Amino acid sequence: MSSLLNLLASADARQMLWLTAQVAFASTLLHGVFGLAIGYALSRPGWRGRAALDIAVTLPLVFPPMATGFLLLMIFGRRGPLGEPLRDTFGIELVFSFSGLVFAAFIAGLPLVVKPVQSAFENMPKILAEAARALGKTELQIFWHILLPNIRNALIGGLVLALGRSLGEVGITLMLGGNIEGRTVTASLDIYNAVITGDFERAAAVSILLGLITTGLFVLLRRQARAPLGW
Amino acid sequence: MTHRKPEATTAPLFSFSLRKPLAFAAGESLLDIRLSLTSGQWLALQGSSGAGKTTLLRLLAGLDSPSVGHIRFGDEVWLNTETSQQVPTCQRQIGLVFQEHALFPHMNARRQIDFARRPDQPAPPTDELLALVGLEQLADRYPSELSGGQKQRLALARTLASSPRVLLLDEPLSALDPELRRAMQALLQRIREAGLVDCAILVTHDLAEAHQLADRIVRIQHGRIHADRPAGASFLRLPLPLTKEPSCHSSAACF
Repeated sequence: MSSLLNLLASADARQMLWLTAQVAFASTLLHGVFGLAIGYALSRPGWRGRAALDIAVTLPLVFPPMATGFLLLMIFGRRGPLGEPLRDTFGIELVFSFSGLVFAAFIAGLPLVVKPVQSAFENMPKILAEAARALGKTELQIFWHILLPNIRNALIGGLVLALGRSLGEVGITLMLGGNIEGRTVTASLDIYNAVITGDFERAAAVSILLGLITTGLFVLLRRQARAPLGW
Repeated sequence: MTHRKPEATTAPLFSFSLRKPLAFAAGESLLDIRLSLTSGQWLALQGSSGAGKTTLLRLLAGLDSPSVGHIRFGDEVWLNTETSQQVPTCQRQIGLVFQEHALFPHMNARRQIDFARRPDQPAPPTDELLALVGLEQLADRYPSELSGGQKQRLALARTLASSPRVLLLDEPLSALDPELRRAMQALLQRIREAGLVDCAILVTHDLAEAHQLADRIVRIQHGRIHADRPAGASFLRLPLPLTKEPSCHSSAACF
């Protein structure tokens, strides 16, 4: 407990925790928007590029995180085929920056949102959308009022899992973020750095803090699953 | 209760001619149906499983597309495959009560009815519709908390809330016990007498029910009209006003 209080008293630890919270918030927002859109798109059969998108989204689940991070570094690095035009045209640098941390968290957690959302859309009885259509509702109204409330649990569950994965992400973050102290060190990297330098007390304190947060998220997820459907 | 009483006229109000291949386990056949309904007319559709009844209702509602055909309601053309004209389901003012209820699991009874309303169309107030189907005490219940009969009544009330001009009922009473079935038959009769819809097509396997609720009974077989005659007249009386399939010599055989 005292090591936890010591951790919270230190300015650099608070800065690291604040950075971790910002990354978690930004990646959760992106997961919500893209997880829903990609999950919905993948649940619709018969369009070109579906299989390629499915593979691309699922890859971080099966590919070693370090290898994924290295691949992304090669693609989005300053001289990479996508990194260079992104920097020259839009001024966006994904490597060794806050954007890189968010991108790493986003890539790591995305399949954990997309897969349950896709499955929920696929398993929803088609007749619900048809009934709403027959009641005179537009496709947008059907998506918002019928489809979305009925996949709510899958979406929230996926978001919580992705958040937990993002908080614990090291491999991709290390490659894209660079582990620069004071700039790109998130909680998980801080544990890694503390262990490397022999500061086990700090590693334990950050681990306990992350453990408490993820346990809290798990409890929230269980409660959410028991709540009635809808928003 | 606010309603529009259909004018009694013999001019067709709702007419359609639809063709679509039907796939069965035993093979293929072609749905080929041409019918017209006058204002206020309720038509009972009969036929064995796989005859094309549900397919026909889905085509009329715009949930499926025919290979060839047209649908007209009054002066409006809802579908014309020759001109590639197709009014989407949401603009057809058609109400379809599904055999499986198709209630939204995340909405309580009141919310189902409120959601079904069309902003530009008048419909009876929610409380009035709930009272009409005898669910005023269960307005806050979710579908999972309702019995089969209550679900079916709610599905009917929800459809009426969308102010349909044409009501399509796909075996709405098939899963009900005899007592509930009688209550629902009485309810449908009240809806018909109140003129809440301009015309209706009711799929039912029960001949007595068809006679009780409809003005006209059409039997389809393998996707085609096998018999078409007014309801009410004794079905044992001969000759029958058959429109198709002259081999059908008695109503008992036809129905």
